[in-house]
Amino acid sequence: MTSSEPKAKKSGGGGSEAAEDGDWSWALVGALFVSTSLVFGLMRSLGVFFVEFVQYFEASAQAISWISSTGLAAQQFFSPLGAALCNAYDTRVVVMTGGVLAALGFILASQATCLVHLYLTMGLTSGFGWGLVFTPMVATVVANVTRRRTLALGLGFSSIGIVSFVFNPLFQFLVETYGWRGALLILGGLSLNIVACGALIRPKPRSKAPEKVDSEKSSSSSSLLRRLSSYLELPLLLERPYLTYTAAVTLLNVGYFVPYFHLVAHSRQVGFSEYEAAFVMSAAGASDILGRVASGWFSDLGHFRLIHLLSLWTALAGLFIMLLPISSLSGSYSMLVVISLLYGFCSGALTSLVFAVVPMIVGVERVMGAIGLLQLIESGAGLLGTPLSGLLKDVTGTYTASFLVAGGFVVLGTLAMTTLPHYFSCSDPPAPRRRSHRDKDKSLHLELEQINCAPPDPSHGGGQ
Amino acid sequence: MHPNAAMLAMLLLGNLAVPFASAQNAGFVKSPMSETKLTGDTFELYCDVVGNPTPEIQWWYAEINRADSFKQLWDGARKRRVSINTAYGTNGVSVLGITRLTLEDSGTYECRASNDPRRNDRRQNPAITWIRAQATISVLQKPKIDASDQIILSADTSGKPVTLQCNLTTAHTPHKESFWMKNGREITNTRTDQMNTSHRIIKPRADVSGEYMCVFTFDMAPNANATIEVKAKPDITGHKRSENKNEGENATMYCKSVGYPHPTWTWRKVDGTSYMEIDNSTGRFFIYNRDNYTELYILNLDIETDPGIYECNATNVIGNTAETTILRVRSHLAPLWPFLGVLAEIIILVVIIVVYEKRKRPDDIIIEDDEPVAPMKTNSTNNHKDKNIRQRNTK
Repeated sequence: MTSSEPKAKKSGGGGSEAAEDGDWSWALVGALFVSTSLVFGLMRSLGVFFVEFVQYFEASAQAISWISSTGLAAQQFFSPLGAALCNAYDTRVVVMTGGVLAALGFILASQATCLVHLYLTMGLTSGFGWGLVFTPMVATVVANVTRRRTLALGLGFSSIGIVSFVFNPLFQFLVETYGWRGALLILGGLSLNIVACGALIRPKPRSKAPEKVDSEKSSSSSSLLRRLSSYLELPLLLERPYLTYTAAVTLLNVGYFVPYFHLVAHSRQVGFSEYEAAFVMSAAGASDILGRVASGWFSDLGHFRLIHLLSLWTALAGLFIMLLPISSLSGSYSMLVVISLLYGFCSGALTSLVFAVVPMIVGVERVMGAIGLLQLIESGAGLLGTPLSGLLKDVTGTYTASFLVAGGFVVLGTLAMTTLPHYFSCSDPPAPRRRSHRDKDKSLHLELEQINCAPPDPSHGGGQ
Repeated sequence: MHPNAAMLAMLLLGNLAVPFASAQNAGFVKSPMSETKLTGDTFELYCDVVGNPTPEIQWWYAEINRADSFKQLWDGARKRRVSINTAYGTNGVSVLGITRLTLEDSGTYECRASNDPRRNDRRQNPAITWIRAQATISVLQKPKIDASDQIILSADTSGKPVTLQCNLTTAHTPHKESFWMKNGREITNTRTDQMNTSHRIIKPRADVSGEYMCVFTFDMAPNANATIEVKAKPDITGHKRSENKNEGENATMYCKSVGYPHPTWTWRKVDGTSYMEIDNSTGRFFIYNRDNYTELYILNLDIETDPGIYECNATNVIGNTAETTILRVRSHLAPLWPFLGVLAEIIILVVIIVVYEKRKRPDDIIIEDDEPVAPMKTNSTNNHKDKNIRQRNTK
């Protein structure tokens, strides 16, 4: 009974999933690893270039930092578009196009003669490309890997931390040897590896395409709009579970990045040296990687519901964020390091789970659009969180208030998560499907298979 | 009287009167000022006189309390220690200077000026024809300061504390206080009223070297000082380890040093183990030297001849040090090769993946049930029931 439990749970919301996570699924995970590192890992390691840009263009650091802000914003803004395009056309083509665009952005940037060029190329074009890459890749892995979904996501996202150890010295070397223009050109070439990752996605069978269109009236604008909204999965915005989850993740994002930006400055302000502060950050980063993989592996063992684990990690992360300034109040360096390690672990752990929970809520086939919209909505939180924490620091003079507020937002997100339907049941509820009477049949079958420690329900038939 | 004769008389009188009317008596614009000096010092007295015609200036000297016996001074007097420089323009300006003062130089110095045409007539009383301005110069015995010798900091004395000492042995007036100066600037917290003062340098490094002076101040006399030089080998504190520039750009290499005396700088190009002087036949090399700083500036880098290791060398009496900078010139086409390499790698990967896929499962493109991502948005038909069963079985 228990051995089939995880399978039943995992496939509870799913449609036609592969029975075993075969080699191809793990090849997909490798593709996710590489593409995530080339999107977010790259974004995080651009600091080397910014030093060169400040000198070459004689601009302020703030003007230069707009480049990466534009890139990140473009990636998140175009995520729903990427999801819609995948729904409408072939995921493989979309990801490969995204890779080409991202690479094109960097190649054009190598010829930039003024700052605006950089905003348009490294920011907008590459960001657009990244938007077409990230959401489709994540959604593909989520949909294709069933048994070890969270581990796959954890492994994929751990690339960001691991690769930053490699990229920083590598970019420094490239800039020194080839100049920043040459280095950007080479980075453009490296970004083309995303195309190879996209090639690993199985092309969509062409026979599927006509099924998406409900009616034959393809020329009228109302059906066009309907098609558009179905590609973008806009009806999701009307569903309460999805909205709740999105709100929770948004609240989480307000506070999630604050330690990343302010931990070093806070450590220095409390009185530790530069090296000690940098070490705290590195320690948090290392435990972050560990947390992603460990949480992924643990979640897939199936002992707990994913949503419960996610709320656990977010609650703990929020708690540790709030404890960070308090631990350094006593002036003890080891306390600060310990709390940072714990925070790093929890924040990494929750990252693996955030996307793995989505199919539970919206169903596997809507995962693409769901993640796209989620990315877009949570991007607003990031824009709010960091300036707010900076403002609090300016007003109060220390980072204590910023950290407390950030941790508070994270805990609020956890509380929002508890309002999800069926939160307090022991097993996952049946994932919603698109309303069609075929699906009603299916869900009946699935409900019959649910192992139950859920409250007795006549339709369940008392479990197996 | 005949009107013509009256006019003639007036004319004659007028002519006689004209010299007296336009003649202006001599007057001092600037008079010499009294001073107190120490033996061995130098002093200068200034005298500036107006008058028409321009007055003549003389310098006279009388010992203290011997105001009746003034003697004239001339340029080169007192064994050439006296110098008098006079210039006659619209004004008369004269400067009296006496070097290597002795105690006997004390006395009253007088600047005399006159433009009276009868001034050198013996029958005239000089007191009437000459105007005079006096200044009293007192020469005090210079206090003897016993100062430590110059110190040379070297590698083996580094780390051991160094003490500079000054001892005021003879002073003829009570002294007020003493302090230390380094390179012309007062060192804080060194003021004391001891006659014996010392300055301790706990950790001598190269930047400690310089010109140190202990200064004793007096109530009624000018300051006395003694100089102690602390010399060290120059130490190069700042230089670029490497300079990477593109072809055609300009490169700047610099070296900063600390140490006294200030070094002389030379730049050389290092070729393996041998040194080469920098060949400036192309006129693109510029060197700019200042006390503790030097810069080598190369215009319009040439990828063939310019790359290499450049060495800046700082030399002073004590010793020399050198540091090297590597200059690398990047060609514009250099990054193309790695880029094309990466491009080739990606094309090969994509081809491999697509070919592998086509070979392994050529019919998968049509079979539907291996495609998990495809959303099934249609109304169900009976065709799908088979699939449901199949899926259930594979769970």
